[in-house]
Amino acid sequence: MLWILIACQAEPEWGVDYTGERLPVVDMHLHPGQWELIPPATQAFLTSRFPFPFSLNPEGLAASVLTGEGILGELDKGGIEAGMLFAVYAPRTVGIASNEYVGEQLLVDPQRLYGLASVRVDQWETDEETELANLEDAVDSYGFVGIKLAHAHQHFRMDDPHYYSIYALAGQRGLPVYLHTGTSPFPGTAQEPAYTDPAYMEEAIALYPDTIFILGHLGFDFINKQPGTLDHCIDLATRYPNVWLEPSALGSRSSDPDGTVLAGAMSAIREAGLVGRTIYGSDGPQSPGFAAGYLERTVAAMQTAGYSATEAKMVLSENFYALFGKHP
Amino acid sequence: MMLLLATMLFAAVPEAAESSTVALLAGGSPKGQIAIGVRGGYPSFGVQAQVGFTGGWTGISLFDTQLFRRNWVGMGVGKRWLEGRVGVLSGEALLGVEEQSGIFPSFGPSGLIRLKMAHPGRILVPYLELSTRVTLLGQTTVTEKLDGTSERTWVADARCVPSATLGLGWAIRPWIGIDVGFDWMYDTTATVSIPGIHLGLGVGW
Ligand SMILES: [Zn+2]
Repeated sequence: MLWILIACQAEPEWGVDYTGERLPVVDMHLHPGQWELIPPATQAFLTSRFPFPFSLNPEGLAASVLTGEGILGELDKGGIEAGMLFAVYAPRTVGIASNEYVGEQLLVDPQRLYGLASVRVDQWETDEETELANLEDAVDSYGFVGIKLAHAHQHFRMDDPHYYSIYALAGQRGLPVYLHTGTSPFPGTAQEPAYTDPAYMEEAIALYPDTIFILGHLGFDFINKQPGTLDHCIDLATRYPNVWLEPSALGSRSSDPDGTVLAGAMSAIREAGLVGRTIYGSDGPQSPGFAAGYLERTVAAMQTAGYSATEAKMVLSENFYALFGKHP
Repeated sequence: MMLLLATMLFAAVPEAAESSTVALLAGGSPKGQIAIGVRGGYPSFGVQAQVGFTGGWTGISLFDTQLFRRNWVGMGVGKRWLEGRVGVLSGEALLGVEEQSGIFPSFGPSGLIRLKMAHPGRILVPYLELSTRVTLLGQTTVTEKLDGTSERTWVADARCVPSATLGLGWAIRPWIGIDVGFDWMYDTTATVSIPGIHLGLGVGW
């Protein structure tokens, strides 16, 4: 107990050891949130992942890790210097983390926290203009540096031109678009290829060369725990310079117990010459210690895949700062 | 475990009169004697009262809670199966109800079976408790359909919670003692379980 108290007080040691070098780390994929805004089925799913006895008081645990403050604590555990918080509008699946809520959390430490805004699309036919205006407002008010979308959780097709106005706006404003790719374990997800396979994004990627598209999770199939559409991600990134990659969640203890999935994916990225467009992310905080643990697993995967310290440094922080800039 | 076995094997001869600490930690009270124990820690808190009956039987009532979110209350009996200078082994069976509050409330009848073993030392009482608790629960699922209607289904379900406690008691006086123990509780609704710790206080007369 005393040991835990001491550990909590200590100033974190920044960065991570990689073949004898200390490398700075940024986590580009973190979810702040409010427990009340998560649908019951997803609350049950998340609760089943919390260790007992935290599972008895999930909202208490959520409050302690899902706020900006809680997330900073989780980053500290891994020596992670900065993190990107995602807003999400998926009321039927993963829930809502509004732009306003996430914007407020960024203020907890504007130096260390970055944010991606999101767009509500469930009434798109009537609300398109309003929602795009809301998005721009959020970017201007809170300094969001990009946009987060999850077709599968938000139930709109990747190749539906009705939504291309989002990509157009992103290009004009210089806001990279982060996309969830691959299936998802969350109840209510649209799992069909049009929602999960980034090959369906190709038209938009080609039409909007000024828009950066970050393919999150590398198309991993979280249902069958298979690489899924990793090939399509690599292929798109090889052919289009506006496609970036992000290897979060697929290497977690539950999806990849022995670490071979993540190591294989990192190896495929390196072989395709895409290290310079790959950004580290965890998909935390999930449960206490997840963000730090995922970093360890990613470092191990890069070592297995033969990344030099220079390459690992690019993935762990340099590419992030190259794309989103560094807060002064 | 090793410590417990080692202590059982090499312990000194215990005294004649048994302490309330032994009654609570090893299970089983001598006829006519009452013992009350309180345990507090994370995540568990509990109160047990027991009284010795004739024929070696002990009546037990127990309240046990984890974070005051999952509460168990019930009554039952216990009996010593093996009793020697180095070790006591007893079994307890209780019936009660389990209630869970919070975002996933549940309520149902529950049975608890507990195995207690301890070295009945005059001062130090190392002990091990193994228990399992099975609660019958009904699960109501409401499916909201796209056409606006909803469907309710009810299925019977059971929650099984095995647990283990390893600890050490200190009989300060025959009528009062304390203990410290590590608790591990497996919960079928969670993937992993982190161990807990408790401090206990027991009195008897
Ligand atoms: Zn995510």
